[in-house]
Amino acid sequence: MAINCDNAFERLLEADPAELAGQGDSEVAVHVRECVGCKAVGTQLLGGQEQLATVLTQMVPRTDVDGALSAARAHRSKIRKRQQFWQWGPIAAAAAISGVMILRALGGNPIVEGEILSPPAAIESLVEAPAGQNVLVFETRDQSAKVIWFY
Amino acid sequence: MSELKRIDESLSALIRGAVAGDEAAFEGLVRRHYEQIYRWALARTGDRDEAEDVTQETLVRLHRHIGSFDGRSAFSTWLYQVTRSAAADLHRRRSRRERLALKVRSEPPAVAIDPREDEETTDERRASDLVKTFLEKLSERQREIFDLVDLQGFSTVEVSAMLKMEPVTVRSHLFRARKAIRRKILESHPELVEGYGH
Repeated sequence: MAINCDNAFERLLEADPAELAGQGDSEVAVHVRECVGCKAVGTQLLGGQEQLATVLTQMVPRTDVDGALSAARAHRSKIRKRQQFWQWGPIAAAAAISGVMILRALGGNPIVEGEILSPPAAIESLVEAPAGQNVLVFETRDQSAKVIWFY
Repeated sequence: MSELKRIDESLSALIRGAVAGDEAAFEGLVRRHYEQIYRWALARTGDRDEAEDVTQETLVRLHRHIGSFDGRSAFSTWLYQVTRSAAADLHRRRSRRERLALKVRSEPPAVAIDPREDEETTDERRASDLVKTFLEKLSERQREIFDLVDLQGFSTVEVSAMLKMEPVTVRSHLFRARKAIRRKILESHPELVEGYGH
């Protein structure tokens, strides 16, 4: 369909900027060159787009490039530290657990002098708790020592 | 040696250096592309503050991933994809945070005061308003394609590589964006449209 002023409007809305300026051999460009009304519309559209382009070009970041660079580096080093932690942390934890398990396997379950074993029910009744409190008596490995806990 | 070729070679040297871990080359590369990244972010988000955050996030990612740039695509194409992915991730995170905040909040929110708003001059605010007026009606995709092709002069083939999209799809988004923006431009000049019977 040949282009005329009746169907030109929709075509102008989609046309390339060069066509709006009447440049080239496309139907729209040729029509814009020949028609005063469509040329005025094309010029207006181009002017509007140029204004938008200018405004966008003038909008620059508020943070200067040095500030942005140092912030990016600081952020990156934080991420790196976090990554290193997750890389080596589990390995270190696994090594520590393995070490404890090996020590236990080699040395059995070492008994520490004075270690509390269990509360002997028989003695408990011999100790009276102060009013409003309870009492627990713990036996230890050392036969001469007991632990009395008021709570 | 032509100026253009010299620029290309100095850019290639910066890219090679940055990929190899040279901090000075990385810095040079950022200095050359900083405003371009911001511009892409601005077109993508349509908001100055968000564009600042996206730019910052892009620099962090650039620092982290520059070693993986293998030169199979143009550096600008690769950088654009890093910027887009930073913008998409920030947008996702922000939406999630906002959804959570809405759930948690029992009282109506107090009016948020953005300190950066005060720093904006009248001219800047007018510019922001103009950009918002024209770009807010477009989808993200339309906005970025319109900006890349019509305002920044990339070809539809270049943009299709940047966005990993078929050229025909790029053109279809471009036409829709042009229509919306141009109708907006003509709104203030009804005398020009009268003859068309709209």
